[in-house]
Amino acid sequence: MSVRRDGSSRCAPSDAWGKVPSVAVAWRLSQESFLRGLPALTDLKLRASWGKTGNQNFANYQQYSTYVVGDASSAVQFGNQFVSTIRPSAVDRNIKWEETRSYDVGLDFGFLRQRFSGAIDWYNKKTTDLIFTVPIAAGTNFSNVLTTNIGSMKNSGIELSLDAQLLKPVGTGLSWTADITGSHNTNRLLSINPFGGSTQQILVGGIAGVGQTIQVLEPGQPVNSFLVYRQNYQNGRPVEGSYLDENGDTIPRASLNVGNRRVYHDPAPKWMLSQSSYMTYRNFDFSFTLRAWLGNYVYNNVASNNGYYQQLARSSPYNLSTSVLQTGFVTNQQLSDIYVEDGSFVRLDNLKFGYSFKYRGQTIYLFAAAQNVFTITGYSGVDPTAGLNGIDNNIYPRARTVTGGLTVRF
Amino acid sequence: MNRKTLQASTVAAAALLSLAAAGCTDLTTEPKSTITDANIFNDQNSYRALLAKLYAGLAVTGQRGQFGQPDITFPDEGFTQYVRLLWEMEELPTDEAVIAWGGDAGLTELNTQSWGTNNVFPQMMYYRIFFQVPIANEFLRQTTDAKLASRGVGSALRDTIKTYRAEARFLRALSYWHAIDLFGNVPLVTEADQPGAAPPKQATRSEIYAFVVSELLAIKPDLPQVGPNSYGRATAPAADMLLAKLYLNAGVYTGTPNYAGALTSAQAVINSGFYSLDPNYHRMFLADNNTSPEIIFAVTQDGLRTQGYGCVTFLVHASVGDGAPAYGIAGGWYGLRLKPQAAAFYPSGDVRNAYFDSTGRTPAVSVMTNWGQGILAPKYQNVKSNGQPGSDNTFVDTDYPMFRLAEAHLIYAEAHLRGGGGTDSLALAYVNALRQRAYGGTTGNITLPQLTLPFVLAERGRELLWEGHRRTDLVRYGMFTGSGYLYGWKGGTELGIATLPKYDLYPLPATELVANPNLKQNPGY
Repeated sequence: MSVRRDGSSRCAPSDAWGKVPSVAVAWRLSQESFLRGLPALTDLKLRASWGKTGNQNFANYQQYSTYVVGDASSAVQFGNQFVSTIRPSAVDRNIKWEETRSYDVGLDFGFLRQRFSGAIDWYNKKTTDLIFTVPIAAGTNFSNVLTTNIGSMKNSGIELSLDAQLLKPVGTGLSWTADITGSHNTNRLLSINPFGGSTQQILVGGIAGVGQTIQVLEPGQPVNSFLVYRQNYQNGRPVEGSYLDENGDTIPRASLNVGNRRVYHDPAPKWMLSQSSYMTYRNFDFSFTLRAWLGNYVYNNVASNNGYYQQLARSSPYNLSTSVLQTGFVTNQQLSDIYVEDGSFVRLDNLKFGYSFKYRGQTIYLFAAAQNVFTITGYSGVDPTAGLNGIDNNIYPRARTVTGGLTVRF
Repeated sequence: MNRKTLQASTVAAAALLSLAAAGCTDLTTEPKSTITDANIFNDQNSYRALLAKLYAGLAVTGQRGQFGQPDITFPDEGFTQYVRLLWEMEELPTDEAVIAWGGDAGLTELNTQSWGTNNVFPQMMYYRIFFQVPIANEFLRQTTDAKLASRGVGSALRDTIKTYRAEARFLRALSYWHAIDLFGNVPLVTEADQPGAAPPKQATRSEIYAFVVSELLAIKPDLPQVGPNSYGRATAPAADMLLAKLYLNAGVYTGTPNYAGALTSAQAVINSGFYSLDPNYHRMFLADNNTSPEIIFAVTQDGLRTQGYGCVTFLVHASVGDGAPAYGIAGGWYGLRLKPQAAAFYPSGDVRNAYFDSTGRTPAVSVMTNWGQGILAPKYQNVKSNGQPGSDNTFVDTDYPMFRLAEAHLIYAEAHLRGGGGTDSLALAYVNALRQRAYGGTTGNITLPQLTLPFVLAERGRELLWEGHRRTDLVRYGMFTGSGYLYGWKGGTELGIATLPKYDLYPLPATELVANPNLKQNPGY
């Protein structure tokens, strides 16, 4: 059990101090009389904890309006002189800690003298006074976006991990140990209330292509959910500029507005899995790491920004995205849900072969390794993990690296 | 270590630790090395620098020349520039200009009066206006008598700051005028509203009109005197010009016109004696237009020191394609051409269209995005009146003439014709003065029966082509929307069709309606 009192000068004076308590208990079941006799069970521990933490992970001095001095080429003329400018930054004088209350129940286990061991955890976290950079009402501050406390959200899920010695070596025979982890998280925004206003949505997620935002913070939905128009299709092809409302009826083009957009998936993966293996056989060793994300969605901004024929009318020639061959769009349709794609993938992150031998009494180790070996995904863009918060503006593929080497000791 | 020493050193350590701990509990120390509103005004030059930011808000896009530290956050910084947006919103939906850039979402809808609430151009303009206003408000809050006294500001600086305060109020009034002209009913936020407060309530066009007029009347005596130090700054004639334009359009803003006020204000500008018509029409749009005797209020630009991809840099580049070096820049942006109606504004003999470029081109624009169609009008150029190029071949020296004397002449004539007083002879003389400059003699002079309201509108088109006034003029004449005047690409067809009256106003941004639940959207959207 512990209690701590933390203060941060990043927060407004009235909210600078917070208490950070935590409590944890554990019950070693494997030591209990009813389980002690089981030879295979090496360890079983049930644990639970509750705690509160604060996050002040935003820039310094947000409660003060800082002044930025303009450089020599942004000056203006007063008569015959040039005067440099200063500009105040947008300020929330009452910014405070983001607080997370969480509780966790877990089970650690071990079998066969820790040949197989691992843990399962269930957790539930509630964060209040969530800190976000959001657009604000015009005229209330010195810019159109502000870093401020905006609401509360909940994260809950399970985490699993398993360390296993799959093959036990006989002498210098084949051995294989593997670590497997998996986690599942659900995220939901509970409430938003910037400045005590009654707004029910905050539009976030700016995209390339002059203006527009593609995501929303809306109570009851995951954070950064995509907010898009529902594309209308005919004979399997999308009808340009035609969108459907919640009843499935076409919305008349003249009255299309932000109220017709709906929440459609979000960037966070529902499952994150990884597997790391290490094998040896005599003087050889082999290791690899596989990783997968399931259920993450990505907004393909490269396709939406370059995937329409009117781009050819630009003064300097520019490549179009191949999405234009499927959609046939002539004008920009950035806000269509056709560009929100499933980004689930499996990736072989790295791979290494090694061989160790002795030469004139010295140990020499030869190895070959590769990073980013392959990615299996249905996503049409370059990399499903590109971009921030699920908005992919990236045209450069991730490099595959192959290295080889020799280690000698003198 | 024996027990006693251990005990002593433990006690000493504990004492030291507790001392250290006590020293670390004060969180209210203000930052010393970062500039914040707590210490910026210790430097007395800061008042001028903050006022300069208000002017710079019209001229550039941020705190770093070219781009890099934008004032408002949108994907393309150059697009967010004040005058560029104002010009696009005042010229593209009219009979004067058409832009070829089909790739920029929302821009072609400006050509055709078919924008929706999601269109980013009105959205960026709205946030630009409401970037200027809070900073003007902050300037006024930081320069109250009480604040200046508490900082020990001397009387000489205080007198200067009185002038600065008047200029800040002028720039705020200018932005609010643009706001009611473009958007109608917007919130009225003054220095009484602290930053970070709850979303503001929506005010009406009439309330803001009354506020702007009262502000301009109050500040006139305190504005800088016209002279060598006032170029690029607001002066009393600039305030009179703004009042003239407000009064002239008062029928649109409030329902009650004030042509007498427009006439009086225009007359005051003409009679001030500070300005005269520039004998060289074209000089007013060239790199040395700061030497023109006619420009009353300019947004200044400089190729080396006031750099940005908006304002006149945009106008010079976008009007040009091949052959850019002749206009003082390295390469054109292949954007703007005349709509067919504007190409036909000028009969022969009028020098005001001498810069039109129709080599290999016809006036008809059958495809808006086809750069090869339509007559070019590189009115703004980065060369001086002696033919020498400006100081930089990307960023121009040419200033943007927001108010100039010729417009005061035309306002007098129009206000007179609309019953605002004045005399026929003076109205005719003022118009003929412009015609004499245009024709290099009296061959273009008109007679009194020819001086009609339609003539004045046409003359405004000829004199003030591409100067950011056209939409306001057409709305005042009731010809911007509707079927009365059909022109190229109005409503989306080549010859023009009637558009709905809702397009007389731009919509409040959809994002703003979400962020501020107090706002009601303009009718029809």
